[in-house]
Amino acid sequence: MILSKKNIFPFIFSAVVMLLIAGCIHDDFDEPPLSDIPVGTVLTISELRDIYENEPILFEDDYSVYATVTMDDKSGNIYRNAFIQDETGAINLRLQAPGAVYQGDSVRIYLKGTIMDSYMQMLQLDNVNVDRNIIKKANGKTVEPQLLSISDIGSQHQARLIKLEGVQFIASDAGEPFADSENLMNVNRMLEDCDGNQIIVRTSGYANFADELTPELNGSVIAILSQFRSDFQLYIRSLSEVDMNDPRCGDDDNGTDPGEAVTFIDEDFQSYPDYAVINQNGWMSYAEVGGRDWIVRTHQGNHYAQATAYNSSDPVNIMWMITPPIDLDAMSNPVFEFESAQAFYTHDGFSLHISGNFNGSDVTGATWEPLAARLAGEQDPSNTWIHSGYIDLSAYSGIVHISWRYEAEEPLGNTGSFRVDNVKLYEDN
Amino acid sequence: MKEKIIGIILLLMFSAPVFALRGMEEEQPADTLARNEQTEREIPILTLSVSDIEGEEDSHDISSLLQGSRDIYINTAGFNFGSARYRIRGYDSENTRVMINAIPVNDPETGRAFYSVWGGLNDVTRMTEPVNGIGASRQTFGGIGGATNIVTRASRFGENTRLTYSSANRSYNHRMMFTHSTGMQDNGWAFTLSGSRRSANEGYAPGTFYDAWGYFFSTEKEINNKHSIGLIAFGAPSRTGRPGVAVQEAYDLVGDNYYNPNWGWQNGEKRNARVNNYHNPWIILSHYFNPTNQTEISTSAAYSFGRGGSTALNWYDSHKSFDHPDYIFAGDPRPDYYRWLPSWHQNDPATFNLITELWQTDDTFRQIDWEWFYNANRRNLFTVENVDGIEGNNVTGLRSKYIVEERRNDRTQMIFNTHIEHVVDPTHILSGGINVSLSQTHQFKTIDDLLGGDFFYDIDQFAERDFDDPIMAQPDINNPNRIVTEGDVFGYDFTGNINEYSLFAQSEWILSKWDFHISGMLSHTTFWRTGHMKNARFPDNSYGDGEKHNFTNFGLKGGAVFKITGRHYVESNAAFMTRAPYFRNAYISSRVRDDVIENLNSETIMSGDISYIIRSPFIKSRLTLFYTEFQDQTWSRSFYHDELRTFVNYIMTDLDKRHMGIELGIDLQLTSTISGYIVAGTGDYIYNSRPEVTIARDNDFEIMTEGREVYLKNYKLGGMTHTAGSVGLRYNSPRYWFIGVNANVFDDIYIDINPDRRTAEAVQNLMDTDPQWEQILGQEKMDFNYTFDVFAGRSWRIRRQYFINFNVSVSNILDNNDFRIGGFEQLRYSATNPDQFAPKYFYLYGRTYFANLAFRF
Repeated sequence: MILSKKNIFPFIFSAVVMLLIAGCIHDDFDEPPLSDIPVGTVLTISELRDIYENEPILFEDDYSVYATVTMDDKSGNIYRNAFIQDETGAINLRLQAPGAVYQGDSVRIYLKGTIMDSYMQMLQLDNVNVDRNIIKKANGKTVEPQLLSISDIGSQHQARLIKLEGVQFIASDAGEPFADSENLMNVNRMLEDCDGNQIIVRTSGYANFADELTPELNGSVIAILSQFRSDFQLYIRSLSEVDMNDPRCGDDDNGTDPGEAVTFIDEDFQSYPDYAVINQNGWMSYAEVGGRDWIVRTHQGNHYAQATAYNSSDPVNIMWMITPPIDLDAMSNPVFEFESAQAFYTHDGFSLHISGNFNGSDVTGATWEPLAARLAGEQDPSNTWIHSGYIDLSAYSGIVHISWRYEAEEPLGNTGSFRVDNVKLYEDN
Repeated sequence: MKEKIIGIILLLMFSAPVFALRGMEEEQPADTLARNEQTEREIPILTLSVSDIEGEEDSHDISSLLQGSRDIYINTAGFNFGSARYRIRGYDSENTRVMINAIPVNDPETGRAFYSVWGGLNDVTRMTEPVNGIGASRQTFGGIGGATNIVTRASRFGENTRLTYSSANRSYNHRMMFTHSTGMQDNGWAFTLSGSRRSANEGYAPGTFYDAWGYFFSTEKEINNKHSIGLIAFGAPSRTGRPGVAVQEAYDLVGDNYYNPNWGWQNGEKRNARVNNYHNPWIILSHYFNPTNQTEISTSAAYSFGRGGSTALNWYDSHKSFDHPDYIFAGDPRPDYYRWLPSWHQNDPATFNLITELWQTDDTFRQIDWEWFYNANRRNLFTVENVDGIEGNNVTGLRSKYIVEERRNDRTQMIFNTHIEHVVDPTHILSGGINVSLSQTHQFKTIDDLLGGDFFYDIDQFAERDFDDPIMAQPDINNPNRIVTEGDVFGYDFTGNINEYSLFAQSEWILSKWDFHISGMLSHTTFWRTGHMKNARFPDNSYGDGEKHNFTNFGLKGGAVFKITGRHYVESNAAFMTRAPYFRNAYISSRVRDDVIENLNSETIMSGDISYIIRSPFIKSRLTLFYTEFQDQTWSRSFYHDELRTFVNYIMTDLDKRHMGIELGIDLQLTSTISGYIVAGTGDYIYNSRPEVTIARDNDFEIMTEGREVYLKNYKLGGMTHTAGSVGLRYNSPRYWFIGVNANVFDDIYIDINPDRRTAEAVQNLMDTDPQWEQILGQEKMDFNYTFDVFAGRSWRIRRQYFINFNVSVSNILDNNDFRIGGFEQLRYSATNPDQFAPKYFYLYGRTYFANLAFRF
């Protein structure tokens, strides 16, 4: 017996006390019940889109939409955005925080607390919180892209997953990086079909394929269709969906602008909506410095092209508006005329040029000679159209482009506007 | 005769508190120090928001041990000043060696001693053999902060049974202790058994809880008069909810300087996300051998094992927001994240006002919203493809977005120690020892709670963001695409191996006019990392054994006491030593790779002190001047760097510190019943060099900045009170009761600075006349403060064999709630807006009490 008798009691006692003092601290927490997210009224995406009437809508009641996620922000090409689609349509989700929904998720979107609004013509469901507004039902669902041609694309296809076949990047955009990953800048690359219809492929500098070069050949592209004002833009989900291995079509032998050279112009800009960037019928706008383009504005039913740096976030803006290629060899007495106007005059930053070697895309690489014309200026009253005079182009030959150049430096207060309308090219008989 | 014995016992009972004026019932200063742990920033943070630096390690202060000291200065500093983060001579705890039965229990990885190892076992850790500073020490060479040996041999405990209940409103509310010692029985056996329980459903700080046990067993068998064998086993499992530390803006909004962002409501109960869970049992087998009356040889083998863990929230794809139609920020689930504060919305008055109101009134906003986590997890259906790298092995389930993870630090240690003391003659004593310590610290994360989900997907979010190749986000390419559930290891997994071999010897002469001591130490340290995961980003140096790093170190110390008279002494000591770098500081990112910092060197420590000591029946006093330099230290942290916009490892080398100061302790026996004391200490603890910093990106090998000079010289060391003073009076009634009061003052408390703000780069765009110049470079000093404490006690003797002691103390009796005892500048820092990541502060607890009832027979 190693424990003497008198010590047995305290030892037993100690054991009992040890048990008695086993107070308990509650730390096994019950799981809270799953909060109920009511289904409420079920809407198709088409029904949802139809609710919108040019005013932001905050959903305050119980509505649900069932759809499949067609694009997430994992690739970096979009951020805090997602796209969903059902049989009736598609819509862009703007998320409160990045990530958390993934392509192929079959989801119920609970609309309460979200806001539907249009941004630059693109309808969006904003303020979506994935934790609060999205219930995932399944993963790995695929949505087949809708086969379209560029010329068919319209606002009714917004946010949809589409597929274009027989397309290629225009010569100047082929073999170029999709975006500027160095400076993390978005880049627009132009995609065209063999009929010369064009559409923008917009890629974020954060995209994990931003460094990759655009294919030089012709083929198919699967992408999400977005809209920015009147421009349609494609967002590629993955490079594996850019499949271009067929021979190119339509390019000139010399590699210059594939657009058809014209011998007649009568452009009154009436076909453009307000704020649209000049980009139709072979015309183009090019923002050399800054983000501003020549865009169409309207006044009392008249549509015209305007360049302005007013309220620009860039210190310097240089923008060009360029006519389609003009085939002077096919004309004997070519005459060019247009009207210009100024408003809020601040500086003399408006000029007219002509080039015989512009390839249709490399604006600054071309040689632009000044072309004499009467341009609206300081001496002219604001908002008054001044005729250019009849400009004789017979001294020039071959394929030429005519351009209006606008330059402004915001810090110097040079923000005045210049406008152009009723551009005409014709044979003076 | 019997009365005489009882009288002696009573005398001892009441004289002990005279030695240790406030040594009433070992009331734990460590308890009120619970907030201190928040400043311990040893482990690189792993929180995914990568913003705040938070402590991970439960580095309890060890100052309670100092109460064993008979030195009034040391005793008061440990007891009265400990709660205000006063550290003797400004030293961190790695400079003090703590031993249990001569076995050093400092953590080999950090050098620190963790109070939690023996927490609650007050009855059996009361007998200590403390060594102050660099004085003579027979048990060990010690650190420059001294050493303490806790005596736990069963034969040293007298026959005694003791039951104690304590009530308090500090980190715990209840404490129960039971101890029984047999003393050495006639049959040669001695036993001591002790158990304790400390608990609180909610401690002083909101949302904290305390759930701790302690057990202790010691036995000794006297084989003959030369040999005894002893076995000691003890442990202290503890689970505690951590208090928080926050920016002043949050404290002001909530109206509580003890606001704790760590808790939130779950099903009507307060749940804390940061729970420490420790249990490190020790088993010590000892052989005590006295070959002659002049020689003692004790040899021990010890084994320690167990767990250390600290939980925290982790998240992926968080959309945590707040259900308010006007509020559309989502992201970080921690309620005190800087973007949730009104100051982030200063330019938006509507949001500012809305958030201000939510902060002031709404617990679901200012505390953790657990229910949000459960709901989000249960709706997050996800398919992980090719699980475990098996093609086509797709698993679909609820992927937890929010989890509670536990960061583990499980230490296994084996120690062999032998120690000899030999009395050559009464004036000359030799001592020495050999110590071999082999330790492995297994560090990893596990899932503590999936919060309603089915699994967590183990990928590195930062790597996923920074690399296009998804394979780079795999923490372990030996097991790719892992899904983990509760209890599974994930994230990182490695072992730190630290082997240390040391020996020391001391010679002590005790002469009539002089005492001398001289001692030397030699040690060899080897450490290396063993990785258990093959990280995709570092496939060549993350898995398996890493390079071994060897350090040989030595120490020398000596001192003399000159006895002017029997009551007046002059003592002086000096020490010089080198110390191997600690594993914790040596690696750039030990979680994921085997990469030590460049020029990994031992540090050098030099210290000297001189004291004037008076010992008379009525006054015991000591006045000491000390001077210490630490040279070539290394400082390493990981945090989100705003300027470099990435998670970085920030490593300073050649960091020097200088500690100098004065200590004064006067212990007065004014009358036979009234005693008093005066204690004052002031120090100047500063950085004493301009270290160079290397900033390395955490995710790859890229060195972002090298050789950047940090202008740290002459900045004050933060995290401690530099100046403190205390005056106390105590009345001891002959009728077995006492009452006392003391007043404490504190000054020179400086904020712990962020070194990156003290670089030329931080102020490169500023003129020295700009207001930001001082804002960025200045060092905040906390306000002067004071506290009053009172205490009283009584004891009873019943039928001459039962003794009851009751005592109570109230600290900070004026309930001063605005006493900042420290703070730190966040390492995340915005050069353009220095206020954006404001400092975080700690406050001394307000009025607290501790009452104790002990029953002894």
